[in-house]
Amino acid sequence: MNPSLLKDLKAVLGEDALLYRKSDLLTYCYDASQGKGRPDIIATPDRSEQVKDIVRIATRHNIPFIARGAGTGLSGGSVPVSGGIVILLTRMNRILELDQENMVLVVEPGVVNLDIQNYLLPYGLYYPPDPSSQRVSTIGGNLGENASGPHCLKYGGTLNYVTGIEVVLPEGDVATFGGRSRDPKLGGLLGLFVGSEGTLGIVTKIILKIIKRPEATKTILCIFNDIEDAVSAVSSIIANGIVPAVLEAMDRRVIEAVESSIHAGYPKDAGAVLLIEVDGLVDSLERQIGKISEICRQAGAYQIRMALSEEEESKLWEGRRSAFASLAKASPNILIEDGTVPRSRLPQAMKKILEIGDRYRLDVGHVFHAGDGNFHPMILFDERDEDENERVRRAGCEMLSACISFGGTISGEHGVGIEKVSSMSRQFDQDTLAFFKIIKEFFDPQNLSNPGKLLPQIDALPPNSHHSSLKLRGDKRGVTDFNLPDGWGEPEIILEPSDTKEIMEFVYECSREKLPLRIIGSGSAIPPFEPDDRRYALLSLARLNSIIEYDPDDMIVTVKAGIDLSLLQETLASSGQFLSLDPPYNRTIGGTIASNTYGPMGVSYGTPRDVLLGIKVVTPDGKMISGGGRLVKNVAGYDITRLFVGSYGRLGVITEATFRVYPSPESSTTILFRTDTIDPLLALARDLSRMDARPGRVALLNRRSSVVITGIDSCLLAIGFDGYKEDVERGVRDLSSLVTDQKIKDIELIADQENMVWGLLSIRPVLPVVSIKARTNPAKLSGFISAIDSVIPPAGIISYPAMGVSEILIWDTDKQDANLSLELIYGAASREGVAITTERISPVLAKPLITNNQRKYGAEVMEKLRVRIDPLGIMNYGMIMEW
Amino acid sequence: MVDLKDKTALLDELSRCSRCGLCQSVCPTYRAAGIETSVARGRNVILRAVLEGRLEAENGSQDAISSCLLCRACVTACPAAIQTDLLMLVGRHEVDAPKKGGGLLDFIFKKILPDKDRLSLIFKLLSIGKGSGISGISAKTGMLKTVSPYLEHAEGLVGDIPRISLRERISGTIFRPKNAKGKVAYFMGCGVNHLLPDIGLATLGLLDKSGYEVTVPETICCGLPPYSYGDLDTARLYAWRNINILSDLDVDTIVTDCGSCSSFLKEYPLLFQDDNKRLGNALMVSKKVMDITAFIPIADEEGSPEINGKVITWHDPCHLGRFQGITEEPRRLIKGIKGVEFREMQEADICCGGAGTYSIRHNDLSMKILDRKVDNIVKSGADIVATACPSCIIQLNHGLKKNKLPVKAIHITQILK
Repeated sequence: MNPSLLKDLKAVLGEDALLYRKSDLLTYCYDASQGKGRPDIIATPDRSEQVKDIVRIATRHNIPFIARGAGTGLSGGSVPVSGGIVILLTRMNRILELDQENMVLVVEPGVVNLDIQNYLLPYGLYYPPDPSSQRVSTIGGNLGENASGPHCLKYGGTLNYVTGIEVVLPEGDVATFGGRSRDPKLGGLLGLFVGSEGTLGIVTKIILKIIKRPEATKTILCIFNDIEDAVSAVSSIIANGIVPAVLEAMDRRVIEAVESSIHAGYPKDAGAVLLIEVDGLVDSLERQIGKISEICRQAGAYQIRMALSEEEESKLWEGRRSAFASLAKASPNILIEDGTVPRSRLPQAMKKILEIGDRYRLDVGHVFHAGDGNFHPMILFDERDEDENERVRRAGCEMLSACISFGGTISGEHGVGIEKVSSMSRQFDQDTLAFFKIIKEFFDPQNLSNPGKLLPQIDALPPNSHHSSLKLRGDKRGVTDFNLPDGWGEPEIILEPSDTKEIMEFVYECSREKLPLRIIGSGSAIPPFEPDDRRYALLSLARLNSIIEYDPDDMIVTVKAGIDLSLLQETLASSGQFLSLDPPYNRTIGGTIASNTYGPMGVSYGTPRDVLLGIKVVTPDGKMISGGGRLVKNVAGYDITRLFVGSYGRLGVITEATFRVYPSPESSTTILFRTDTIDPLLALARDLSRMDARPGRVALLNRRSSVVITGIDSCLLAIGFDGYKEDVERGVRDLSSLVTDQKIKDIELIADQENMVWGLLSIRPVLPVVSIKARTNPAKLSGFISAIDSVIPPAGIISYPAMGVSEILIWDTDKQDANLSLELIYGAASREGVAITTERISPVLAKPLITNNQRKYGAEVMEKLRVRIDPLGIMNYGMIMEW
Repeated sequence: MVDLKDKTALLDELSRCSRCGLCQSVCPTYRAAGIETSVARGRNVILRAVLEGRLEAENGSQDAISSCLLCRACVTACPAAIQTDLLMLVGRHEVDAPKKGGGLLDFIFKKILPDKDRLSLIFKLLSIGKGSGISGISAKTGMLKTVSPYLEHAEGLVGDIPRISLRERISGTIFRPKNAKGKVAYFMGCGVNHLLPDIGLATLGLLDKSGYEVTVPETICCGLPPYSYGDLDTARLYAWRNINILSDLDVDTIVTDCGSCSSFLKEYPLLFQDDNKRLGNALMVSKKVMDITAFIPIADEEGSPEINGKVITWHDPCHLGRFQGITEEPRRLIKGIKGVEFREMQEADICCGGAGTYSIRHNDLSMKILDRKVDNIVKSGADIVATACPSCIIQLNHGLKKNKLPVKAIHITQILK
């Protein structure tokens, strides 16, 4: 090792924090995968400044650095394949803050996953991602690999729970993305880092969303003769609108091993078992279990066993938990593969995987997160047998190829690392890989941050081969009638294509001509533009309005970006499902994603970033890239999907999107609370977080909004419960006992009118002249809303309190009045430190406020990345919008 | 059981490690040090490299292999149940055995431990030094330190060394109640004999009260110390001497109040697996061995007056809990005592870091492990930590005293009246 490197490291860390004896180096060559490397030195920082120092030293010496937690990765993510400094983060294992008001936990990356669970337990709180390694794996590693586990079927993976990070970037700068809001600022960058396997920088602080622990759980074990019956039962359960918390399957080989090692009590001759856990309110669990049992019996389960006590429940799970151990005892070594296919393809994929195992004469046991279509073949082998090693390697590769051929992914939850890097070019096309590379090079130009992982070597790409069929001047093809936003001049050219190829050509032509390009969907969310009389091209997506693929069994829908939401919802409703996004103004899907809009449902189902699974985008150079896929679980490659959420068309044109959809609730009830002043309603909204029965929809309106939107002259709080009938009734009961404030007088239960209320909130009969989205921590919301509510002339507020998000609206057409209100609103936002995005503003009004006072460096990073992606600056040129 | 002499078998066992890292969740040294060389996965990788000739035995590998507590926590947590404790014993033989580590340990194991008179003399010398306070010989000269750098921490740990050993104290005393319930031999461990004789007195009193005829044979060290240092031959020598003494006795049971001794006595047959002539005797002796915690009949007992109204918690010695599976009996015993409250502490079964002479050789690590243990004791709110191993008691009391806590660690036989 270079002595000056050692000297520099000693100067900042001291001798004790460095390991470099031969034996030390030997023990950081590996993780839990088959990968091997060799570090030059191991550094063990205990705070983020030290990480920053190490990274700076590494950059100066041009030597790789590799973040490492517990080293339990299954794809080689923390293996130092090119040498360098292993940055061991296990000493940074403090839980920094439990913020119950905002329902977040702030932790350092070295905290062990299970320690978080145990820490939250006495508070009745819960962090759902539960990888099998949770007893040892660190949260930093979980974040790096976007880990998930059995409970992610219902609750989602790490990605859905990280709301903020502090990160040391490869050149040694420290940036913060996101925060404590449910709709994190710079969520796109946040998304990139989750699952980036330490290749973009080192995360030194993490803010995790936490939720209330479910009131009750119930577990049943269903025993089948045949794995295919079991798998088809899984599909039926989901198709019947039940989303269990956990839905796990094991095959005959695993059952045998479990039985001979721990006697979990599974019949030895069983061909497959399903272990199913439902959780939630105690009220509906019995009925859910009954329904599931019936479905399984019909699918061929010959025995169904329910856990009657907690002990029995844990005993049932013991078998599943010990699956790996049981096989491990039977064999010198085990390789755990990880692939995901759409749930409906699971039976076929299963057959294929079994066939591959047989063909390579391998002993393979199968456990699945069946509900997600995520399976883990466990291949038994002896690492000292070279022939067998080779067969294992080849079988593994074929299994992954099979996944891709069934529309799946090479990694559901273990990551790419080094083990699957060669499969990346089979899953992603060259243009998408090239886009990944742009991201990698943007953050890490020297290629020092965990080199050799995730990204395959990419050959030089052929130049763009579009044949221009477009004449850019004067061509106005297929234009439907629509109003251009105020202040936009006449476009040089308008294109309203019906296929994506045309868009690629159009964007390519614009880039060649350096012609600014503006994109328009429904036209309801167009941030202001700098006044400019440059000529520009207009791209309307109105004709890209079809559903590409909808498989109710998989609960996944893929649509073109121009489709309007109500049309999509109608189609889904006919299959008893719905998309859990209810943004205002009936936006197009593309517009909903690009403007990151949601409505009252956000409180329970999250924002577009939570339900979006995949995306296709035409980049500013006219290439088509695709992020994510048609799967709930997918951790291969950078998560570029979320990068485009809230990007307002400035990074590319969203042409296609895939969402997870949910079964329509069997019952719903809405309660409307009215008061004269907004404060009692704010207090009530805050109290909702204490309820076990979580409302599905919540919206708070100040008097001004209420008058304009509903015609009711008072402040309003609308709370909707949906789900199982019993649970909805329970919610209504609990809510009424929560309301103790005498000022909340008018309580109306208007079950029949609920569609009208939510409908009005969505349609918004009067278009405002100003629409501002304000994001803050839920805890800071009250102060801000009170301030805005006192603005005169009055501004409208529609707030989603648990999200910390509000829309601020001005309907006054009088310029002077509107400007007066605006000034006060901007003042309040600056004072309270609330981040605002001006979604819509009449050009004759005051300039939008760029607050940007917080997270300044993070926003700068995003802006620089935009310039890297769109170096000519043609995409929505001149738009005034802060990240 | 892995054959410790068969290198192929050892490598087989080592290669079963899939490097899943689950051992990190339980390994006390890993939790204290947080690095890979202090957890089973890393230690096994190092040992394998040494055995395969890829890594020479240097300081790093010696540290890694010698810093294992042999507590077996990892064996329980390991999906493949790899016997890391045994592997580390072999490792010590390979990289860290007394013959390589210097003459002192060798001298102690070969000349002092097996010779009870010499051992007695050493402790007597030490007791003079310790007993005469800060101005005593040992404090002035750092007597232990001059013997070996390893021992520089020993003085602080041990506390006052009694001038008269247990064996000397009870010499001539015969425990022979009328209508004896049965005949037992009391195996006196070195720790009880030389450092904590009060425990032995309490145990003997208890056996007497319970109506047993007790003989105290002239046994020597059980052999665990040299065994733990990887010196299997010396361990075998000790064991064989004890077997000869014990197999001649006309007793039903061999009882001891040291969890480590009882555990090792039970494992004697493993030392003679390839020696059929001796194996029979070893089996015969080991079958009679019982730890006192499992031997005391569980009934509502009267506690000693000092413990009345106190909160008592239980610390599981590794050699008692994991090695012998004795965890329920002592808890039931304490719960049965009138006028005291039993309160379970967190991580009661995690090693205290004492591990015989471990706390002396790896003082830093041992103290970190101890701090966590003390923390758990404090959190439990107990006034007394009961346990059943002299090494644990010395270690725990050191930690409690260091933190100026009013809590005391005592042997379970000492809380009974």
